[in-house]
Amino acid sequence: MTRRTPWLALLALAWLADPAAAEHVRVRAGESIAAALAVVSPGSVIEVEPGVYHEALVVDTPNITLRGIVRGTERPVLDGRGQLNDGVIASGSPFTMTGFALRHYKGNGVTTQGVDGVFLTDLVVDDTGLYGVYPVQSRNITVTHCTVTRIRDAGIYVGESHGALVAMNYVHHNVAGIEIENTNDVEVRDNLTHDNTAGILVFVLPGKVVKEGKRIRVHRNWVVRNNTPNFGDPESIVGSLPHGIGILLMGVDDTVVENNQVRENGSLGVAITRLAEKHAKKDPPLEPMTDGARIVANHLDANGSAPHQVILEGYGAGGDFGWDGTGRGNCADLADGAKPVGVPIPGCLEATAPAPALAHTGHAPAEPAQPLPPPDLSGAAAVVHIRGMRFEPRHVTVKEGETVVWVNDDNVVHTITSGKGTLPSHEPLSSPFLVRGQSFRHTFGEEGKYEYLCLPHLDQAAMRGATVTVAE
Amino acid sequence: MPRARLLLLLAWLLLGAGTGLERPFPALAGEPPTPARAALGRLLFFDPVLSEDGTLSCAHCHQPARAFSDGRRTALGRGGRPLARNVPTLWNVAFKERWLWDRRAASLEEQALVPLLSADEMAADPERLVARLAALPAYRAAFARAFPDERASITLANVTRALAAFERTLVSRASRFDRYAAGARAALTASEQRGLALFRSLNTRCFECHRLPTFEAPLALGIGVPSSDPGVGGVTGEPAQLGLFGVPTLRNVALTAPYMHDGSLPTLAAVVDFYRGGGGRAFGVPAERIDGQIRAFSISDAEAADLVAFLGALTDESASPRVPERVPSGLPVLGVEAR
Repeated sequence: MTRRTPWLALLALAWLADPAAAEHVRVRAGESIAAALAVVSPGSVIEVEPGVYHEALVVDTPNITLRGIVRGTERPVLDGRGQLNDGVIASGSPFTMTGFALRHYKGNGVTTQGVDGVFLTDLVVDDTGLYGVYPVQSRNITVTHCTVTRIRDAGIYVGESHGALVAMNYVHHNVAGIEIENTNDVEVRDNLTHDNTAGILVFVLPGKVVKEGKRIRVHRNWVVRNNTPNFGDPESIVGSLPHGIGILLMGVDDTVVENNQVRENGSLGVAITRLAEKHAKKDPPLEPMTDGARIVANHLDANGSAPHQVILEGYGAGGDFGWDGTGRGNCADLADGAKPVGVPIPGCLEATAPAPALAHTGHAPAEPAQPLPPPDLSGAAAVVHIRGMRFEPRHVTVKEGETVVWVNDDNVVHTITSGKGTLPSHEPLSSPFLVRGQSFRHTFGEEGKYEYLCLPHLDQAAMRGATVTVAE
Repeated sequence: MPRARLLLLLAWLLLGAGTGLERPFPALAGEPPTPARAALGRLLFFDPVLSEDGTLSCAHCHQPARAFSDGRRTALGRGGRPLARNVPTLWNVAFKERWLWDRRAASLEEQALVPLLSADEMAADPERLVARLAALPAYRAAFARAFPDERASITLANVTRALAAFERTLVSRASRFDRYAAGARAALTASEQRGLALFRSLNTRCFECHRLPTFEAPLALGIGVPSSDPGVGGVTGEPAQLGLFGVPTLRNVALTAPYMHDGSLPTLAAVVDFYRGGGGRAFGVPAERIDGQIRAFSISDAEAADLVAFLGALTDESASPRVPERVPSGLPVLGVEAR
């Protein structure tokens, strides 16, 4: 056997190098994605047409791309109908998934387990149980442009992993919006998290093989009005989270929280705390303090006005920033108007902790970006382009029963969200994140004047106060 | 399938270019076993000469025919007295980081000392044990071969080193699951494949603690089996660790009933039901003794059966040692009755 191995190795390499083995497979509505997955070779791309697929997928083959074909508002939907456990379980490396919606699973939307190279982009995940997106025990993770809603634990979770970029996601009405747990070298940026119980959690928890969470940078996120009462399992750790939390660091080291917009979170805008002793003592090798956190150049405004009882007891009041006084080398530069509670924290100019180096080295995606298809403008009575950070035209008038289509021409993400001034209301307009080339359409039923804004950019005058007037 | 294609597929499977389920095993911890030491360890393992009264051997509890457990709720000690805990398997014991249910042993050699010296178990007196072994020519020769650089090689420490060397050969990594992980889809039945997906589900969360490829984790966790056993907390004196136990491997688990540290669950189906109900939460065990990931979950009875079926696919005894027909002491070889 051993004498034959080199010979076999050559054959195997020939097999693996054979480009004919990898294939493009097209799955159409009514067909089975799982059936396609069962027979594909490593390196294959599975393209899935819009339609509803009542399936739970397992992807153990290496280097598989699951690409949902998005046509306007149409995309393939993985629907567990409250019966299936998980939308996707993937272990093959790398794994890429884009352009799907997932809904109504009991456990989870997409999980990757032990994968090196995770690319999850443009997924719309709603009501998939405990988690929406769950890379765990994985490396080199990218989660971008996903919309995750109504999740009973964390919308986007990254745990016991190394190297992750979580960016430009739209995460609302979950218990925890984004949770980074026992993971090193992470960048969390340009996400919009609102109306969760807590917006962004950066945690070290006990009972895990990985005992630390270091070098995490949380920047340029919008963390707004995360005041939804906790609807998680009260016996889980996240189920005991008080509502009204913007960004919470617990037990992690060398975290930078920078240039985030943190507003109207009822308990605490940004908070630094240790892992509670009762939890830490279960797992003695774990170091429970938050050390070396730098909170700099954030816009903290109007947080702490309706603090949860737990925060009242711990800090005496709600506020824009709270520290429990534990850990070494933590600092915060707070603007004059910001309201700190708890133990006063040193400013960062006085502190000497260096900014952490980020070591995220994701693979390039397996496939180059495809040219975008033209947006679907069919049946539109009016088309609004978002171009150069403004709505063009800013005001349109249509008749009852007519449809308006918005198209994002910018390289940044935008939303079409109902709201007056800077206050979003989500009714009746509530688009997902729109990346360049994506469109959103709405048919207006009743006459009236409908004002809307772009959630990530509602601080810019040109990106709010736009209207659709519906005449009889 | 044409023959050339079959050969290629075979090559692909043999060379490990399999699926993402195929994970490298950790390196063997501790002293690498030499053939001479493992051979000596095998004789010692089956020889009641290790016990003070000549009635117990390691194999009395760790029976090869029962995947190195004994089929009882809790172990039987000296004089047939029941002990406190269930006999853990020895399969893949080499890949652990700490040993015993309460994780108090930091090496396999240290673990071997525990039953050897315990008054309730083999109750060996180190000096008399060494004298008994030194009186037997077969052991004098075997120790000399196993420890050629040592003049007085029959020592208590070398007894444990030889036992550990033998135990490090008990490797189970060629189950049907492993073949499936290497790319042979037909190695698991449809029910077992569904069970594997359930095992990796965030609904059941089995995989979070029973991690591939060893199906265990170097962790002390509480699941809330109702019991007065203090577990890890009894060793460390830390109240927060009361009721925590090491995570056992699931390799060969279908062969090692009954289950849990106290053997209180008779079948794998009962184990699945225990977790379905939220572990100890259903038995009034205080929440602080139960890990946050242990929560009641809803799966159908058919799914529960699939999960049990999958656990059966973790069976591999291909590295089973040959049981010696006789041992140097001439005492009866124990623990080798047919199942």
